[in-house]
Amino acid sequence: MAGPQRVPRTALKMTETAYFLPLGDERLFAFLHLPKGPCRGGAVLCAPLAEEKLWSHRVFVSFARELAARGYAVLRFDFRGEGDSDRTFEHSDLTTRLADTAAAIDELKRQVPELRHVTLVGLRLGATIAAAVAAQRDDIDRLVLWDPVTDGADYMQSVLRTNLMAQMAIHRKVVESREQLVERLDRGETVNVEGYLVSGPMFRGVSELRLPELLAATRLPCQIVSITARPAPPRVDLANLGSGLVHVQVKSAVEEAFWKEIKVFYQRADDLFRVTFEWLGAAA
Amino acid sequence: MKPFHHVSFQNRQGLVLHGMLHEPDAPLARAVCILLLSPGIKGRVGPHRLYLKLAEPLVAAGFHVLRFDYYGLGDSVGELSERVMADMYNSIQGGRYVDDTIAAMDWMSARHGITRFVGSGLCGGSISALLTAERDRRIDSLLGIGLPSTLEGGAQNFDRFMTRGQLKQEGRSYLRKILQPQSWLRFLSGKSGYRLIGRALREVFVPPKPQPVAVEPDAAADNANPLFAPAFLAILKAQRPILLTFSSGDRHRFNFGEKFEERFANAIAGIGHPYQVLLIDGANHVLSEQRWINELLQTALPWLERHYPARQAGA
Repeated sequence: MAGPQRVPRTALKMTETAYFLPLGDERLFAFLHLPKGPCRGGAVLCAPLAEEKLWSHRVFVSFARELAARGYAVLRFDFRGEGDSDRTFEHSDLTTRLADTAAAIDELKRQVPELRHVTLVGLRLGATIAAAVAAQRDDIDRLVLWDPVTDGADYMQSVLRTNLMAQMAIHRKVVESREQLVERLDRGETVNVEGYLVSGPMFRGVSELRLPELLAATRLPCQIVSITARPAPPRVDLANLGSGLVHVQVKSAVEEAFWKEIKVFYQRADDLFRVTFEWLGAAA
Repeated sequence: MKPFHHVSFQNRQGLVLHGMLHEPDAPLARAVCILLLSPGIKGRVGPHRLYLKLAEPLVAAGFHVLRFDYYGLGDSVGELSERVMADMYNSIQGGRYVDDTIAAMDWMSARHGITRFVGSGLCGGSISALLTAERDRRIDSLLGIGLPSTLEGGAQNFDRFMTRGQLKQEGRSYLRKILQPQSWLRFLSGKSGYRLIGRALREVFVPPKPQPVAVEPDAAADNANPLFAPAFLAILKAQRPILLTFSSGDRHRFNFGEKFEERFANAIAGIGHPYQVLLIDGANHVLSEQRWINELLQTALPWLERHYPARQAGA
């Protein structure tokens, strides 16, 4: 039942290369998308965490291809502990993710030597990691944060909640409370979240992330996109991030939460892409 | 063990498919490749990187393992026309990726000289393996993980196509909640699925009398995948080894039992070729705990050794 197989519109305007990027004695799996014409800029894409990465993967692929077709050199990569990169998830944490993002930025600049600055684009926790990396470097020119995690502690609590839901499904009751899970992490053990073993360093590292502080520190031009299923103003917590910060634009995009299991099959996020392309000056 | 490496090849329409090839160390190599076929949207790594967790012991045992993204998914080229997840899954159950799987075997044969394959994968990966095996003899055994034998329904059909096993499981779950005040609050709020509750409890207290085995499934009233039985029976007739693993609570296990095994019992008995079924107690569909993966491997590795014995030294 092989129906017609569509070749994407972007195919004629960009090239893409997959490879493993060495990082010490480890490897990051990366995809480099290059425009066939002149290069207008560079972007590194930071994926969200765990299953959110898998659900949203195709949207990232589509965005990378479209941005490359519009003249940007784009590098997307798997954090260590995820995708095809080295390490198990339990041996990865916030520190490795910050180092991996830094390595990806360096790699894009190595591949495209005329790039002096790079734009970081991230989704959910990937967005917050992008902001944290930008605060440490002077070669980032812009930040695009799609539905970012604003408070790492709240986010990790929601991650633990997923474990509680799994306990309910398996044991029909909660056998280990959230507090007990945190104690387990403090003892150096791991917590299983949808098959990913979250470690204490991961839990504590992410819990310390506060996006407002990171944005105040960077002073970079930044677009924050609030993703809502129906036309609506930006979410309050995201709108508040922009108030008083002239370098921050907060916009809404009408999309489903494509980083979760939903009924809609998401290959692309056209409204989100439009909003970001306009801000980047990469509109068609 | 060698690190796995990126590979790419074209399908028959010329679209580039991206994947990873795990190669065993030469002295161990059995010249057999296990295809861990993509379940669907979660691509060549699978949920929680299940395919990496499975690949490592399989490669250590001497098997090549190839996992790749189908066209329109993961990193591969192509675009799909579906807008609804259930439609996308149904296109996989309908054999959309048989040609991509054949292209992968063509590439492995041409590039690595391997012509024997074990078709495997979680859920959509398993059905792609089965449907490809029906068409291509190079898949000479099937290692199914949560093999679906039915088509996806929408939310409006959630309970319509439930098997008796699923209904009984649901019914017992309702009984466990009978003393919980929040269950009654929900029940009285009008938000409960009353039809499902009624059917599930009836299944617990008044199980229907056994029905005579149907010769042919009633396709109009049922969500059984019409491609499933012919393909499965063809593989059985060809005497190819089959090991199926299901999580004990997985709806696909009940579907397989009630919508295939019961209905086609005579045909299966007539062929007389056995297949093995492993139920992993308490597991979920995606095998999110390592002990469930270990249980699968404890059965799968000896099964593979039996059908693909290691080469003798000097042979």
